[in-house]
Amino acid sequence: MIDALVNGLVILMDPFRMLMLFAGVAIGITVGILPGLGGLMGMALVLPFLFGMDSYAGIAMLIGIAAAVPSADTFPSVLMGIPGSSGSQATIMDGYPLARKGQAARALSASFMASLIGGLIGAVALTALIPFARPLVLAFGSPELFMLTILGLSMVGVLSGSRPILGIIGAVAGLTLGMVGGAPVAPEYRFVFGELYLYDGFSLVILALGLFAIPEIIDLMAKGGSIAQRGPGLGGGWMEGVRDTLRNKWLVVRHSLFGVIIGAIPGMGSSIIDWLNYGYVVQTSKDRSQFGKGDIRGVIAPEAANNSREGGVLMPTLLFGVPGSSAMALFLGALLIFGIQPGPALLRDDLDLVFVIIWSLAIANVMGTVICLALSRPIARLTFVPFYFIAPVVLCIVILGAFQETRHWGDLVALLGFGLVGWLMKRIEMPRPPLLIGFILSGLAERYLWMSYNLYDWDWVYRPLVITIGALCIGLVIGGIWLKRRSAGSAATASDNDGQERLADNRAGEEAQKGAQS
Amino acid sequence: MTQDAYPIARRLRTAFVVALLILFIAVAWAAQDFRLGARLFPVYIGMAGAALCVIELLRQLITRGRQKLSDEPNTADLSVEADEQTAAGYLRALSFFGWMLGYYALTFVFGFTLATVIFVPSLLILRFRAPFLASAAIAGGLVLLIVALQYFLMLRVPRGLTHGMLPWPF
Repeated sequence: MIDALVNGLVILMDPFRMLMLFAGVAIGITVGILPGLGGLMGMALVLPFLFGMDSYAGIAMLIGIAAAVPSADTFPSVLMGIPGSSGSQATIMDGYPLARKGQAARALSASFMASLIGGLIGAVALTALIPFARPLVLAFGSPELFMLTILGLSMVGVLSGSRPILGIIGAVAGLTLGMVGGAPVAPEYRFVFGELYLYDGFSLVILALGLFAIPEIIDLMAKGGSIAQRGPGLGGGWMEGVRDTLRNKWLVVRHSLFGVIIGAIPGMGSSIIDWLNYGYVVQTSKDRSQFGKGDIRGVIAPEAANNSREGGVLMPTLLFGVPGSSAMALFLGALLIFGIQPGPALLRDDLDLVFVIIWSLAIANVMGTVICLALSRPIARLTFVPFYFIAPVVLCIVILGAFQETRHWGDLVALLGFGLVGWLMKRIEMPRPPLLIGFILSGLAERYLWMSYNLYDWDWVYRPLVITIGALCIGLVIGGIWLKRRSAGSAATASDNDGQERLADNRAGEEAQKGAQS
Repeated sequence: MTQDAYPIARRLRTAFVVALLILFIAVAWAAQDFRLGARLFPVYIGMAGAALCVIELLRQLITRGRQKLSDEPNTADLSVEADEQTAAGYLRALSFFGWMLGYYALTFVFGFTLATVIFVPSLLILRFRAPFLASAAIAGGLVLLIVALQYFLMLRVPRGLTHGMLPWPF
């Protein structure tokens, strides 16, 4: 394993691969800064350009995006009070009040330091798990692998927020879309209606771009205007923020580990982890008086957890082929594009690649932090660029990217169609990630089900590991719902505190006005 | 937020689930003609999807007009703002799909590069009242990007009906 660890680093140190990793970090920072665009969209944007690229370079680029978004999404949260992505909602509670007090630089630097340490802890935790997980996953046969796909699918209920049934329907719709084209286990073309374009099935890239990129572009253009009004500026106190993080080192370690553990549960979204950690730090602190008003611990805890989570979500993704998050679902799709079969086979046949991913995660966290710290002022200015200047550029890249799939007009029609469906799903508050997960797992689930059925008839359901994974599915769904309710409780409490503070601000303003009038 | 706060979204949600119900029934029905290996999965998935749609429609019927059962945030997605859920909000967003269709139409006639030159400044100036110079600069930058991507990454762009009649780089 040590050999693979060293080999992974040597492979990644190739200049082109490092350049791609850096490009991924830069893209991750850009999409993280722009509210509404998250890691999922960043990955979807670059996916069409990965064809023909060196697989290590492409994977490093995707990991760079995934690692940089949780650091960069702090900018809009702290500076404007709006989440850069769903994983930085809780950071607003104390980050934005700090910025209003003129301590944005302190909040940002504390957040970046916490993110860096959290990200590195996530990478170390992932490395530490491999020696224990490897023998276990190598014992899996096709029935267990089928159950793992069921585990991934069962997580969509948790991933669906307040609409679990709609989420599961979305996943089933994804499974159905995945059936279009050639059947994986029989010489039969299904649901192609004589259209040559459909014989290869729908493209993951186009589905992802349509579901996630087009609706965001359309909605952000429809909102119009700039992303946000200009705030009070960054202020000073860069070193103070770093010192704050070092002073609260055990808090950072505790919440990083918490982030890894929760992140390893498939379907636990970044917003759940963010709110859970915020709620936890508030509950376990002796002095809670400043939370919601600008307590630096309210920035450090969720940010550390948010970055360490990436190490956690990679655990089920790499070890079992079960996507730990919706962005990881896309990452799994990218692995398939490169001809890499995720799951136990990856650990058996290509351990070097696993370590390339881990090294990429660690180095991308360092790169992201350095870039965010060094370029804070110009990066902060990006948040004030009117979105209508960015939207046509993104739209053009999305269309160009989609067309690379088969270079057929059907690509553009499918992009528009999925875009319309994604936009409609967004408007009716039907979660979109389950559809993508269903689509990705469709082929795997069908193949493993057929193999299990052929080898063992229906007796495979009595295998001990199958029963264990089935129980795990039920346990994780119930546990997930419980954790989600707790995070919702934390969010509600935090909103109440914030509301009370704003009420107090308003009252103080009214009294001041009355005083001035009298 | 009550369910009735967004009547358009509620009606669309019901219509969408009904459409999916029809799709799932059609999938399960059409799969009957396939060989066993190709039939097993679509039949079960179609039936499960149809059953879930019926459950969801019943849930919508029972909870119609009531307060939302849970105040849990929709953690899967960033939420949609209230002003986007009005008829005007829907029309505003749909108009941009119209712009996108226009982009496609231009691409079909002139090819992607020239379509971008026409579409981007038109959108920025006519729709957003952006300054002419900035709009032209963005369009110019995009053309450079498209040409560079074709040259360095060997990407291909959609060609229009006028392909062959236009000078380089269109």
